[in-house]
Amino acid sequence: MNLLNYALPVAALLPFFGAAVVASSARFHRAAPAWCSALAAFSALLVLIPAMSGVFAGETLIQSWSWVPSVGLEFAFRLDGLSLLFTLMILVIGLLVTLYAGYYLSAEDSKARFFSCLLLFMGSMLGVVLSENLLLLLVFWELTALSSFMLISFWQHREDARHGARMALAVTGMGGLALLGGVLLLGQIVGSYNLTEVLAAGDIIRSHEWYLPTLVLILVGVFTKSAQFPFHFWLPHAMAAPTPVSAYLHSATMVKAGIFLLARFFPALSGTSEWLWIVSTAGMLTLLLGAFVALFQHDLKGLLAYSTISHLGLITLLFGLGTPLAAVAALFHIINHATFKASLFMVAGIIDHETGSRDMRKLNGLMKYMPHTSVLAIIAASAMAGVPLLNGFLSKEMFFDQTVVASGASSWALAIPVLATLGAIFSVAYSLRFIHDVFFNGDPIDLPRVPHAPPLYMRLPVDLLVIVCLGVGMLPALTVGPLLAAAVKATIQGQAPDYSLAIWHGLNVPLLMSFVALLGGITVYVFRARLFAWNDRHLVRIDARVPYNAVLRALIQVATAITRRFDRGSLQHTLAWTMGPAGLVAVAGFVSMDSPLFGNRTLMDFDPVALIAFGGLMLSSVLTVVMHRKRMVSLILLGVVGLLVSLGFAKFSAPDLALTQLSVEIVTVVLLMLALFFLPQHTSGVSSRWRHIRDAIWAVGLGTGATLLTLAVLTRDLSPISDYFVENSVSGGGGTNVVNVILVDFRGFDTLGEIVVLSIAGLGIFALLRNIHLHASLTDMEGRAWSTDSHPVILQTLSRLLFPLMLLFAAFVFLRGHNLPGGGFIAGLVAALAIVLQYLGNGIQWTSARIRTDMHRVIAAGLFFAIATGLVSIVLKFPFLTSTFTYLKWPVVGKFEVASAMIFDLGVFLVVVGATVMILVELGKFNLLQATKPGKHTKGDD
Amino acid sequence: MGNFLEAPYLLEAVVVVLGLALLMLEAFLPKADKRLVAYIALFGLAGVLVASFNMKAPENLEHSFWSFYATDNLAFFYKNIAVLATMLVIVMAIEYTPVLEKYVSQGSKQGGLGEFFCLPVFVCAGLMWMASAKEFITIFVSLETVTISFYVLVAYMRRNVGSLEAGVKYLILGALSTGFFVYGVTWVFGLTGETHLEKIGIALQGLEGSDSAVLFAFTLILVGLGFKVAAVPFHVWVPDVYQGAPTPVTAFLSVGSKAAGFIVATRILQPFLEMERLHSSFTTILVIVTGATILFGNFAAIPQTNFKRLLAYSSISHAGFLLLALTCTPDQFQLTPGQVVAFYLATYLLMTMLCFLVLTIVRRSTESDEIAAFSGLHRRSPFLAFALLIGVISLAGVPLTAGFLGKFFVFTLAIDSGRWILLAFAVVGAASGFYYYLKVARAMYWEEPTELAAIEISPLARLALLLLIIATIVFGVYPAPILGLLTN
Repeated sequence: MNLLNYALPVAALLPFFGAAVVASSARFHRAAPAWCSALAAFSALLVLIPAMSGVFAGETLIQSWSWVPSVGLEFAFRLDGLSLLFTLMILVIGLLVTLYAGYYLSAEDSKARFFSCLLLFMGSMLGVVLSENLLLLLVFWELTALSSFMLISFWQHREDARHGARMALAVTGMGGLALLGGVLLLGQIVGSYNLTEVLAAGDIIRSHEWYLPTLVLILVGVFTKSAQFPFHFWLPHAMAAPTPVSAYLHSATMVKAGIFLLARFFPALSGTSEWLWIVSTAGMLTLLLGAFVALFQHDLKGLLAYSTISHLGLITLLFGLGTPLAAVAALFHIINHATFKASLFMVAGIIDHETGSRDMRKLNGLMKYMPHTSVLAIIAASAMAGVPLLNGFLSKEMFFDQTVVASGASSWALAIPVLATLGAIFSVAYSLRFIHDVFFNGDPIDLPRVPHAPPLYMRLPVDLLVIVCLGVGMLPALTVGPLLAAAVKATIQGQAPDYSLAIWHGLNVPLLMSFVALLGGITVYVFRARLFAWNDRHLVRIDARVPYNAVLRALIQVATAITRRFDRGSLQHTLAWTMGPAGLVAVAGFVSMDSPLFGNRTLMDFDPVALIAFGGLMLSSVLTVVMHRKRMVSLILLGVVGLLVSLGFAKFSAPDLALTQLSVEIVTVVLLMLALFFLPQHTSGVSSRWRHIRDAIWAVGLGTGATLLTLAVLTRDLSPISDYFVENSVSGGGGTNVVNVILVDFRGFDTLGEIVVLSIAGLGIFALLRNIHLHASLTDMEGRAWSTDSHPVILQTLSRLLFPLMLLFAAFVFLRGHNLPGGGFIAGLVAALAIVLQYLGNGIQWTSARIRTDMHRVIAAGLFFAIATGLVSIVLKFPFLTSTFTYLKWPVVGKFEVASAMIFDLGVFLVVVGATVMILVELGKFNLLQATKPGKHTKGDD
Repeated sequence: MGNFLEAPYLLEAVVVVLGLALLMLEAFLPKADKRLVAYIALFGLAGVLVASFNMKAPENLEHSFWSFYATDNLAFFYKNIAVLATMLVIVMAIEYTPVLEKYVSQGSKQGGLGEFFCLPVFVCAGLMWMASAKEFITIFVSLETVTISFYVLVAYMRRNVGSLEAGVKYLILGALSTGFFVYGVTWVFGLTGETHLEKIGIALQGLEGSDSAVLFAFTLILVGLGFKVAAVPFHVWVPDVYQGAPTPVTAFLSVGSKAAGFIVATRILQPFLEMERLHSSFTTILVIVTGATILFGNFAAIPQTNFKRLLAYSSISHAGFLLLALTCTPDQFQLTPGQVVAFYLATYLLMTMLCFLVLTIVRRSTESDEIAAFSGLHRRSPFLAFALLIGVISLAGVPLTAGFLGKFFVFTLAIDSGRWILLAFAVVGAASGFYYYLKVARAMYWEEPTELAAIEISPLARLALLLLIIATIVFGVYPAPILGLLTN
């Protein structure tokens, strides 16, 4: 096993591992986090060194492992020239920033937190540039957003840091989502998420119908990350971060991630007019806007931030132009910008650190106090301005050259070099302002601290970076030549164009443009006072943050409004929202009916008895509603409704249903009686008239709809389900009572579920009622006391007489259940009624003393029987609840059928008895307490 | 003896027996610490969970029993979800005991708490059963087993007005939605003469005419299901009920009830969606509901200041993403919508339970569910704050957490089926998710705490939190085990 086969993932994950170590290293030594952090970055660099030679030779190293193959996610890494360029920037500048930050942070800042966040960020960035799989890249992309959020908000106590961090996260996070969408589309088009395939499929992508949405989504991701117009506004606010963070994130890494992606997708997406227009327009606007606004910043870091925006715009514009040479210039400028901007940010940090201020109106004449640093800053700023012999000059010349080439396309394109020169003029002007205002221009004005030179190690990184600026500026081919060549080859994915890194290209148009820019910049700076006044009067108020905040506020307002609309906590409102759509659908259904509503089956004839019964049913239903204030009356009417329904069942040859309905009806009425006792006796009329009308419309509408639907069904032919059961009930279940056979045999499993539900309901009600105190009024509505004779003698006597009879009847119903109307369920209800009648007639105390069985146990026994029946069949290797039956000849009774399902039915019986009695008695007990001990609160059970 | 011990329905039977045994135990040992019941329940369920991995679908499926009892991967998967969710809810309930005592027992120590630990076990049995139900009556009965237990659980804190109000609302709306569902089922039955979903599918294919009747039935069933999964506009009960119910019950509703709704939806919608003639109509209805759910859930979550209510809306918005998966008809993507939904729900289980568990603990010590109660949590308990952070970033869908992959699968599915508008909604929704989820993180890490006393965490809760954190991250990085359960 060769460790080098794992070099790429190891390098990308080392910083993450380092972050974990760093987080816990502070307890050993104050400087430990910085050292650990540097060690992690350095090891990552070491791990990659063996792989580099191949990359310089133009090879692409890919190391991949399967991860989630079903979605195309692979743990795949790629090292080619482009990744190498970025990797080196990330790691080398990362190391310098680590060194710098070790001295920059004050004693009260948590170094462990800072460096672990920094490493997290470094790892995420490495992941982005080293990913071969686009999904993997996305994951790291999101992680850069999150870790940069933590870095920007490092000084959490500062309001501006929080706001800046949130804005950066919001904008780049949104961009990340867009990018996700773009990448998903790309993956769908290509059929793979691996860069190798994607980059090779440029033609397919460009000619695909999804090209434009894909491009736009990816570009939104790129533009948000790289602070391109119109998403540039987050970057200046992110300057609230500690300066090392700005030096790292906003020069070489985070904002370059977007640029990296542009370069990465260059072969796959570029070369169309859409690409040209969108990318170069955004780049050009950003270039101008950044350069212009930078001049007016008073905050050192603000100036650098807008300058960064401008330079990023320049790079974007170059990629937008789309020619191979433009890509070369772009890549070259990426390197140069990273070096001079990182050093300038560090200088800004040094100045802030040593003087306590970053305001250029106060900072003057620092040359006297920190000459070494000042010289460094002047060189770096000159590179930024594009002064010859420095690296910035070279890439800027290439840029001008490309704008000139592009201007040949049409007469409109002539504007490109003109605008580019305009941008360069402002670039020179703000660089000049940086140099002149800060280091010369008189003396400092009331600075918080007396300026002095920075510690050596804080300056050292700047030294190194400036040396690079100079080295590249003077000997470009020797210094960055090979790296650039490798990066160009990887970016273009084809033959690299001919280009020369020489300093002198002869007298040509680009040189002239540079010259104009230098002169123009100096002129602008000299006459800056008027420009500043104009800016303060007109432009200062224009702030992209205003629309951003307005959008955010509007969103929150909309959200609040929506919430207020729906979320009112009112039950009627809730019901309306549920019923409303259902009603709408129903109406739509009636309107768009595709066949006649009524079928052509002949209906049964009316007979007078049925007519009267149904008339009674309707009348009593209506009366129940109308009389709902008179509790007793409406309860009795409700009973009548139930009775009529059960008679209806009986008439249409469903005696079993009729029996069930009857017994359920009785239990329900008793239950309601007991419950009503505790409810307020008077219902106040809270509903308004309008509400009544509205509800009436609802009710009539729904009723009509339901009636029509029922009629529609009844007038059609249908084959009932019962045929199957009627045919199979004797052969399969050994009983002729189809309903009972279905319950205990065919659908035994469901019945088991139902009795479990019933038990739970019983137990639930029991649990809810236990220990509860209810206050029932001691008098009726007119103030008359309830009768003290709660157990009339006649009822007492009758109930005791009825008890054995009812139990016998229950047994009878149970036993005949398999063949004739009856069964465990009905029997259970009858038996429960028998018991409840004793409670009603004789009082709780009397009955409790005689019926001592705990209803919990009855329920448990019932469930036990039911489950045991099922388990027995399992033991006999049949599926759960398989039943069997046989016939026994009993003396006297005769032939009698015994089915295993009867034991199951017994379970049903017991559960029904237990649950029903438990619920009713539990409610009844309150009555007892209220009646016997008025005013005293006593525990319900025991 | 052979295969009878491997019959999958045995799992449910064992869970029911466990529930009964617990009830008995509670009845016969009135003086014992009620938490004993909970510990035994946990132990038993853990056993069931382990056993569920040894279960195999029987080879011989001829017996009529198997026609309404599914034994596919999805069924097993949802059974595991049910057991896991129940175990976590019981852990939460143990943490929640002090609050419950206050609102239930009044005076008598732990009086009336036993059932609170037993009922979830019955719910679990119902959920497991529902995972296998592929026949309307079975579906209905199992749905009711779950719902009725929930009626009791929601209203359990009977001295708390909020809990009672939630109970009443849930009862009334639940009954209403059940009514819709049953009515829809009868229509389907009237049209096809079948209650078995597979046979319904065949019958629907051969059905001539009566398109509006089929649509009507479909919509009615959708209303019922929409209620269970909290889809707009049938979501209206969610915020109030979630806020009022005891926190463990809210968590259970949010995960268990939703999972149940979705397995049923996955199974029921299939025969309809396979009906080519009406496919576009069904999809249109679903798409409208989905779009409304995603938008509303996410938008309404933004202004919330109460964490429980926030989670309620979050639950609605996640329902939207899940529904989005169900509307899809994938072309190239290797996972079916049903599998994506199952995966999403598994990750949703982890992160939601994480949030609720932290909420339960914080609620116990601060007596508040407001987001403000989480202010400066990282100073009072860095572990809790970290746990909740993982929970919320996973809910928001940050990469390398389980929540990201769920969303990612849904998005891929949506692109694959060309659901562009819904995808746009989903992206907007996910973006606003970042806002409201991170609000909690902000409170924990940026705001000053009102008091500094450390928050105590019991070892059991600590273990549960730790496992959830690890699972959230591990499955976010390496989802293969979950996908393996679903596909192999």
